[in-house]
Amino acid sequence: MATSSGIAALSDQAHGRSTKSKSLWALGWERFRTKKLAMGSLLVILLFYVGGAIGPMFAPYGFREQNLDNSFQPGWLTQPFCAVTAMFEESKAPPKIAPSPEHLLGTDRLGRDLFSRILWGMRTSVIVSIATIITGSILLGVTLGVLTGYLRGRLDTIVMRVGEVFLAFPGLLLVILISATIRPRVLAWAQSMPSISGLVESGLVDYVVVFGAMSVFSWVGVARLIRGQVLVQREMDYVTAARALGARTSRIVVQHIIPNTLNIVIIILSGSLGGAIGSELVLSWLGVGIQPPTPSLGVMIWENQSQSLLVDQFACRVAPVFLMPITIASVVFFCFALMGDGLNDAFNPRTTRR
Amino acid sequence: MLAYIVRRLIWTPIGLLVVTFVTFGLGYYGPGDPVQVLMGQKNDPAVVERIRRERGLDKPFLEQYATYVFGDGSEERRGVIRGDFGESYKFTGQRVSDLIFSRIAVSAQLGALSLAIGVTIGVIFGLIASTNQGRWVDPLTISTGLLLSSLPVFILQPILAYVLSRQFHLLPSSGWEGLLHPKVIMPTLVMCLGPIGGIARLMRASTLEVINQDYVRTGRAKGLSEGTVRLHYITRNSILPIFTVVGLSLASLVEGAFITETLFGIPGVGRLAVDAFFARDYPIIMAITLLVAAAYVMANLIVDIGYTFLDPRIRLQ
Repeated sequence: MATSSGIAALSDQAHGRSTKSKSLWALGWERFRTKKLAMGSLLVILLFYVGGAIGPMFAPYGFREQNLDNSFQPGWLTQPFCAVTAMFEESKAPPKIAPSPEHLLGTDRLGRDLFSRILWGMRTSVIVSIATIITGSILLGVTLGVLTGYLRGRLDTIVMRVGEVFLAFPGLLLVILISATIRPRVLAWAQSMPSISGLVESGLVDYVVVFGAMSVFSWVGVARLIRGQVLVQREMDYVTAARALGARTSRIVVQHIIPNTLNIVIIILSGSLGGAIGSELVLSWLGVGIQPPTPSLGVMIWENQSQSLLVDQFACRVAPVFLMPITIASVVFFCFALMGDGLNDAFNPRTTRR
Repeated sequence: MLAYIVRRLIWTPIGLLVVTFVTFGLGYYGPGDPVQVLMGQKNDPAVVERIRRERGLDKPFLEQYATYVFGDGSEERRGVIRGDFGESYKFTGQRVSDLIFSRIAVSAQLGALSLAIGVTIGVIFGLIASTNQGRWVDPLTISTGLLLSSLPVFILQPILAYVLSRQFHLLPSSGWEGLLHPKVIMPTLVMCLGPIGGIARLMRASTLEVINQDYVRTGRAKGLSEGTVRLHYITRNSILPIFTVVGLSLASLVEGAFITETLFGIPGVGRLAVDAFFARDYPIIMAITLLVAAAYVMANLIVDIGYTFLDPRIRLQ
């Protein structure tokens, strides 16, 4: 595809016709578009992000609106699931409960609308993952990678040694430790400031602690890869040419080096975005990430996973509450993996040939 | 080569010292007073004060840290560098080193088994995909591998337990009775999935890189059977990058062990870590963090050095 259009462009030039040169993005997008699996995954991920960003505005219920008379009510979308579980539950036929017209996916133990809570939980994933990517991967990772790769010298040695120490840490354990030890301090600090104490109530402090702890660990991999790229790029002739023309270091880095590492950057960023969603899930599931009542997919899975809930006679009413967040999380992880694969094929110059 | 190994060996203890400093600092400034944890509900201020003094918890931060790492010369506190991680807060009177070493074998067995199975499946997937490059089998195998890897442990465990243990009574759902007991199957099944996707993808890419080399053509041209070419000419070369990834995947394996061991009730280091974390048992947390970091650094050093023997073209500097 790419080669044929390249040849077409060449023949256009040969015939004296003007051709528009294609940017990295256009070429990459052209290759990416042909991959059906990756395109499908991209759509699912976009749906997840758009759903998380604007979904809560359209959520039929608030995330803490309880109705204890209405606990574990099946929704009309989850009703067919009861027919499936009924086949396994030999004699204990589940009591017939009419699906509720008000709740799309039914309600959880406290009678909260599952569909709305999933939308709010997705918002948490969206906020935390994007904040982690911006602070950890882009601000820290890309900056340090470019600086160390281009300037080298002592800064390079120090940053890379620090990075090696970070890599050796069991990341999850440390993130758990950090968010558990720092959260009470941040909470106390935020509550002591009258101007922002209202934010504690909204769960913003949880977000800050979780993505802060995660971005501390997410920069290393990005920085190392970018550094490797920059080390290669800085020896290229075009950099020498720019320097010979008198370009300042800042101009060479921003105008010449960074654009040539972007293809690697977007591959890494898509991977870390999925990784950040996964880490938030694990942290919240362990009880050190997002704290209830702030909704998060991890908290929802933890709240509803206990075996006693799954195996009692209400299995068909209870299981959707647990399986819905699980399914969404798994699908998103899978799509991130597939999209990363497609991005790698489309943007990585070493693999685009095949 | 020798200079490289020496340099790495010098950096390793320095890096590990930084690790102890960070974990010790987090433990020191973290919430939860160890003496309160130790005493429980009933605490007499005088006794609290005495225990605090006995354990050296009233000393300044740096002095406590130095005692923790280097010991104070006494038999009770020999310091981390002599393999003494102090006494557990939660399991009163037990040495942290004893607690860990009695569990490390379980975690190591489970981890090694899962890693071996996962890597084998990943390599096979990658080989299948690269042999069928361009056909529908290729994306199917790679996507299957990625799908298996993207299922988190805490999502798989309840579903497997529900289906395999409760509904069909095929496998025991939790516990540990050694490597040869059926109880090992389910946790291994869950843990081995992690590396499959990445390994399959890498194996496919590296096989495709090797497949067009001149020596492969030479092998075919001189009339070797397809099996010999595949096994000795292609796979033997394309499997090399897998070794580097195995060293790096140790970290994610440990993370998987935390959750898997907790969910399946396996008495390993991962479960000890999670329990210790919730009990604010900092001596155990610090010791496990340090051990994992040391294992990770050593594993990668071994991989790097071993690589030069497997692939003589690589020169370390």
